[in-house]
Amino acid sequence: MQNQSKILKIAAPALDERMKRTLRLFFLGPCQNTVVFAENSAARAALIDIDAIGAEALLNEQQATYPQRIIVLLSLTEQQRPGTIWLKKPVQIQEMLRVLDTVRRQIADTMAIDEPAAAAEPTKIVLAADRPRRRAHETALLLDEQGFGNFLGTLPDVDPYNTEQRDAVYYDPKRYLQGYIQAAYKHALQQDRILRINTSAQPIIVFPHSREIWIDINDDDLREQCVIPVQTSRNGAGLTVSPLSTEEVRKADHSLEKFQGMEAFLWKLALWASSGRAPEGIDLDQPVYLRRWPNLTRFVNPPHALRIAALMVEQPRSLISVAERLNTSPAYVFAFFSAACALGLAGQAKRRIDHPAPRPESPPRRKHQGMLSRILGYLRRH
Amino acid sequence: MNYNKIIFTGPVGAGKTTAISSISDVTPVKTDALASDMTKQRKPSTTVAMDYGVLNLPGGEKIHLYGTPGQERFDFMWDILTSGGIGLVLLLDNTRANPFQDMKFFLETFETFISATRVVIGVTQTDISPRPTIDEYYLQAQALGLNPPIFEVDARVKKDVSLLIQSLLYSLDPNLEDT
Repeated sequence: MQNQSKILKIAAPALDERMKRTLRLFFLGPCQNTVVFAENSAARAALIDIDAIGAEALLNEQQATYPQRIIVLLSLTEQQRPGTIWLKKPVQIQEMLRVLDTVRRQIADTMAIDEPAAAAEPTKIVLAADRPRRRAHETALLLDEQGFGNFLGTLPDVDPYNTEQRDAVYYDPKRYLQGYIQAAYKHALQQDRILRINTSAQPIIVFPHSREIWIDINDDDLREQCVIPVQTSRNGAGLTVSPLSTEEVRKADHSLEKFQGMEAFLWKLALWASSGRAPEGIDLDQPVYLRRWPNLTRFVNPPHALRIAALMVEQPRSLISVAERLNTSPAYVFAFFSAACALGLAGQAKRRIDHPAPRPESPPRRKHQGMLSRILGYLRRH
Repeated sequence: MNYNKIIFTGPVGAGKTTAISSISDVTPVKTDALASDMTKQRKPSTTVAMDYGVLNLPGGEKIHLYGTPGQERFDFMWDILTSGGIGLVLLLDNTRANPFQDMKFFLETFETFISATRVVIGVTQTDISPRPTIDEYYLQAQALGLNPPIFEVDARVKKDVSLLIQSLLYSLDPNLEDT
C-alpha cells in the first residue's frame, strides 16, 4: 500500500470533469499513483486553467486562502506570475512530469517532505509502465488498386487457378521480418519485458505494456526490409532479440512520431511480406475462418478490405470462393488474410470452434440494396 | 416505412454528437423532441434533446443521422427513434469506469433492432485509455452472441466515422457495391 505521506495531493478547482478524468489516468499510469486529486484543504498544490472564464478570480482566491500552495497554471500563453508554475496547453506528458517534479521540489524546500523514490525518475516510470498513447491518431489508409500496388511496390502476377503456379502463391512468414516481429511480440508479452529486435538497419523496440513499437525508419526503407527473406547466418540464426535496459530506454529518442501501435505495425509488415500471397500451409480451396473484424480504422487496408472482412466473418469460406464471390483479385484476399493471420485472427477452419459466434437471422438485405449502395458510394466519395 | 435513418447511441460523453458532426453535411442541431410517452407518468411538456445530422445523397435523397439522448431515463424514446432505421452505431467511451457494462446495456436494450438490422461499435478515447483493448471488447460481445465490427475511432475524424458506417453497410450485405 502506498505511503500516504509520499503522495502529492493536488486540488483542481473548477477543472472540467473531462480534463480531470484524463489527468486521473495520467496519475495512475506514468505517475504510478504518486499524485492524486484531493479536496481543497488537503492539497499542497493546485491546477488552474487560467484561460477559463473566472480563472483570475479563482487564482486570487487560492493565493489568498492557501498562500503556501504551489499553483500550476495551465495556459496557451506563457505565464510569469509569482508563486506559480506555467504548464503550456496542450499538455505534453514530459512537460507535466517536469512540472510535477518542480512542484515536489518546491514543496520539499518549504515543508521538508520525503520524495518517493518512484517520482525521482519519472522518465523511467513513463517508459517502464503503461504509457498513455499520445501519438497522433493514425487513421486507416484505404488503398485502391493502384494505391495498393504502389504500397506493395510489386504485386505477383500469379494465377492461383493455374495449378502449375500454385506454389508461387505462397510465402513462409517465418522467413521474413514479419515472422521475427511476431515471435518478438509473443516473447515480450509473455515475459512482460521491453525487447529490441536487431535488424540490419534500425532496431525495433517492443513496448508490451502500451502495446507499441518504436522504430526510426521511414516506410519506404522499412518496406525494403520486409519484402525479402531475412538473411540468416551460417548456423541458421536470423535476427537477434535482446532485452533493453532501463538506461537504454531512458536514452532513446522518445519522439511520438517514432511510435506505432503493435497491431497496426505487424499488419503492415504482413501485407508487405505477403505481397498478395497466402501463408504456406493454407489450402486455398478449403474454408478459412476470420475470428473477428480487424481494427480496420487503424490499419493500412488493401482494396475491398471491408467487404472481405464482412464476408469472411460471416462463416468459413475458402479464399478462392471469397475472391470469386466478391469478384475481386485473389491477391487482395490473400493479402488481407495473411495480415489477419499475422494478428492471430484467421486461419484454416478445422474445428467447430473456428466458426464465428452464432449470428442472428440475416435481415432482408436485397430489399434495400439500392439505398445501401447509394449511401456507400456517397461515403466513399466524401 | 422510410428506411433512411442511422442511429447513433452510447453513454453520455462517448462522442455521439461529435461523430454526427464529423459526418453530417449540415451543421448538426440539437432538436427538442416532445417526450410524449403515454405509458409513464411524465409531464407532456417534457422535452428531450437529440442530435440530428443528415447525409445529402445525389438525387436529393437524405439519410438522417439521429443521436439518442444518452441518459438512460429517456430510453422510452429509443424505440421511436429506431423505427425505419438502417442500423445502429454504438459508441463507447474507453475512459468510463465500466465500458463493458455500457456495451451490454446498449446491446441488450437495442436487441430487437439489432437482430433486424446490424450494429457496429466504435470505441472512443483509446488514445487516453488503451484498455480495455479491442480484443477484450470482442470477447464480451461474443459472450452476448454477437460478433460485430468493433473499431477504435476518433469521433472528430470523419474518416473514422465513415469507415464505421461503411462497415455497418457491409455487415448488412458484403456484396454491396457503391453507386
